[in-house]
Amino acid sequence: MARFVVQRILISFLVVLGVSFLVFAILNLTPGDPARLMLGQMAPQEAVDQLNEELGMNKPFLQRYVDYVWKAVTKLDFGRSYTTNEPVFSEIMRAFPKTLTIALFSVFFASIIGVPMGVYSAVKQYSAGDTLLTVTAMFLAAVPAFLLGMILTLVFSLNLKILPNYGSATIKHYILPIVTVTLPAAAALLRLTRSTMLETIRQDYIRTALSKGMPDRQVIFRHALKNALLPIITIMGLSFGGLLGGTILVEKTFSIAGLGMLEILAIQKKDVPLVMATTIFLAAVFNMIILVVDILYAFIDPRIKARFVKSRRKKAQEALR
Amino acid sequence: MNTILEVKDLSVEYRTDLETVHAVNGISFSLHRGQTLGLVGETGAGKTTTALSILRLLPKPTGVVTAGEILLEGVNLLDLSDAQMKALLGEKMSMIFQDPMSALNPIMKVGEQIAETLILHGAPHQTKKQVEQRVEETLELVGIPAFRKNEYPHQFSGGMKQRVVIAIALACQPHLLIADEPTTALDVTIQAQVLAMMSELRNKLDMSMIMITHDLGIVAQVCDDVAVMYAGEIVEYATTEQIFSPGAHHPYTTGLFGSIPDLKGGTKRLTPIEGLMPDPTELPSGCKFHPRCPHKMAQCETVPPPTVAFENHLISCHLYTGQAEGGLK
Repeated sequence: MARFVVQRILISFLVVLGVSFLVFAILNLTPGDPARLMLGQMAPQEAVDQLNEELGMNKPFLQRYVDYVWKAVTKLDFGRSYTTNEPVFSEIMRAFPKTLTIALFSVFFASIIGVPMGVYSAVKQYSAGDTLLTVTAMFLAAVPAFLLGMILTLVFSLNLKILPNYGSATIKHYILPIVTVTLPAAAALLRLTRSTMLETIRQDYIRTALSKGMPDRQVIFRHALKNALLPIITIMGLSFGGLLGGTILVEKTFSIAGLGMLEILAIQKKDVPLVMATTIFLAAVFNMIILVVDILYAFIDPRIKARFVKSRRKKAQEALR
Repeated sequence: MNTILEVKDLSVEYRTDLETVHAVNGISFSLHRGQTLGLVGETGAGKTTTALSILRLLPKPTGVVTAGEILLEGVNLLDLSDAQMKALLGEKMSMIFQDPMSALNPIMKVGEQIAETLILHGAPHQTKKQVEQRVEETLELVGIPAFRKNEYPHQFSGGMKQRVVIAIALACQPHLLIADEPTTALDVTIQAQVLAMMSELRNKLDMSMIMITHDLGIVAQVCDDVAVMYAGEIVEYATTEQIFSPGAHHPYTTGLFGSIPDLKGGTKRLTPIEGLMPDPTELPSGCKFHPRCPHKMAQCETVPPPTVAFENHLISCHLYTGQAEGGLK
């Protein structure tokens, strides 16, 4: 198992490195002069040239890339923002907790709402309850986040005046954004759980379990749900990763200075170090999540674990040789 | 004689919005203690449906028993509540399914899967150790070393998996075992092993067995009685010896035997039965076999055939009307 984890971490590291190279190369190809961006249109050409020299912009491309990676790995120094002149790493660290809060709570609530309701829907397929749930889920999954956010704002902030609608000062401020993200995510999970459960409860081993005289509830939770969890966990992981980078609409709707907003501003202002760092950061976080999902997989499914862990019998056989 | 299972006039339909499939149409048979009944017929004849309705495991909500009684040791299973039925399943009767590759939960140790049955039906205060010991005994009963109880299904070969499935079914030593083509998914040498083991265990545990198969070789090897099914009906019911002896047979049974190659005689071509099984949503009137029957008469198309009894050999066919020694049944 340890071998599997180490192997996966190494692969993740290579992936992040690849991403960093791609982003670095693409940003390098875009037009624009970093020093000119920092100093403004009116600055004299000499000052611009001098700043470019100081930033190392005159060095060859590959050397700049290696320097960048070296500094990033050894000192966590991803450069300074062109617009605020602050280290971009601390900017990210300021924005990330806000996005993480929204993403974590949303995935958590989406799971505890979506998965049980999906199981219910599958078990009571075509019942009134199932129809109500699936139609609601379809509706929620189809509504864009900003629209849902605005409706919630209208109801809870402007009319009822019980929840704040912008900023991130207190926990209360997070309620509406989390609800906005949770509802469609729960709807998606409900639909996925329903379809995988429907597939699983038609499997032969479910019939075997029923033929043992096992109560339906036990069959569903012990045999069906555990098997159906594999694809569900994958989607949960992916949507969590997606949320970390993609709550932009919600952050914008509720004016929360999270990672999504930081990213958008960086791109709009062509703040190269900030764009680089946010992209690499997200790639790294995403990779970590996928790693966790894979490890969970191995714990649930012995067939996957078997590929990485030698069984005691195989070890014994090898020892005999 | 001591009857363990009696099926009377059982009819089963699968109903969907689009169509109604008449899967089983008024079949009756009985099974004596310690005996094996073979249910033989083509795919779609209603063999598995019969088995599933005995265990009340028909797919819900499409599968419906429309008529009949199923008596297990005198109790009508169709009258039992779900909870009462669950108490019987796995304890008094159990089933072995066709495909061992998919019949085991892939993410659960085989020992656990056997233990589940024991825990569900075992003594209320049995210790973990007692259950473990029973699991080991059951595994060894089907010829699997006890230490393999902690392995997962993917670590077993097909034949070994079927042994595990059998172990699950036998864990509580049921009185009735229904085996639905238990060897179809296995290769021939493994088939022989598994069949021999099943016959041996039946005698050892004093079980009754229903063997569903389309393989007449298996019938000859393990069954005492045979019911030949066609389009949801039993067209011929006889002892294994009678089925394999020449004499009066349903034309369908004759056709089945014509489809088997003869090792000794110089058969050049097999003589299969012409045509296909009728569409179960639109069964033919009269005798359901008449569109394919080489001996078709005028009344076959309109009048359902009588069941003619030659002692305990029953044939549902117009050919034998008036010939029966025991008269009409």
